[in-house]
Amino acid sequence: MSAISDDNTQFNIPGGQTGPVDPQPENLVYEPTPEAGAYWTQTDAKFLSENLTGNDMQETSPHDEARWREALLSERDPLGLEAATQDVERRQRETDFNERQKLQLMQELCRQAVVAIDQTESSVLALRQIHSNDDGMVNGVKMAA
Amino acid sequence: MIKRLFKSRIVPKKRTATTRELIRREATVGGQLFGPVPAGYSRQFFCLDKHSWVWHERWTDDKGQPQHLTTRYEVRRSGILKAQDNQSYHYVELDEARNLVAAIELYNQHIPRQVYGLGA
Repeated sequence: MSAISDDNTQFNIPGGQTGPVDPQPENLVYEPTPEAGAYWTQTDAKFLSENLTGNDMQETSPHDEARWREALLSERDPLGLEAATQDVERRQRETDFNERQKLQLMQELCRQAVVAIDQTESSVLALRQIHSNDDGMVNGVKMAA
Repeated sequence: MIKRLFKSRIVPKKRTATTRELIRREATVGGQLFGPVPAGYSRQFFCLDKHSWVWHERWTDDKGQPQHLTTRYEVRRSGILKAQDNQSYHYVELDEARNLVAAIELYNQHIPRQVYGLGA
């Protein structure tokens, strides 16, 4: 268990009490973990810097980074952003076209539906009214067009 | 005799059915417009009023329980709305709108003949 709470505001005092973080090391029940950087010392840093291979150093050298940047900038659309943007725009145009077509078809179907129900009104509903003996009332509601 | 003949010519067919009964007859014929109904199913399709159309099905499920589904369509100039079993309305998609228009046109052709004897 870590002595310091997750949000670093509390620590466990020996004896079970808790309180605000006290900078006095002797007040902490300290359980070092690698994640907390407990083993990272100046000695370790020195050891690593001395033992990096030549390749390791080259990969991150400022000189190579500059060359890499230059190569990227010399290419047209090095990251493919322009192509990706064009692709998105093309897809959007296609979607818009399909949506417009769909909307037009739906409007045409609605127009046909209105023509059809007008015909229903003048045929079936008129016949229903002629043949019914209750003035078109169903459950007290007038079934008029 | 003359009076009776005269009367029979000018008086329309006797009104013997209520609107509800007529709608029920239309619904039965309307349910047959879409082809054979599967065994154990009962289907009705009818015009409630000019804008409202109803599709109703009853069947028995695997457990022997009676089930039913009522679909109501509202035809508007702006679109065709649909609600099932009194749920909220939403606009139908193209295929369903196309099918409904075809069904209404068939209804207009068949109901006057088969229910009201027009042109029989």
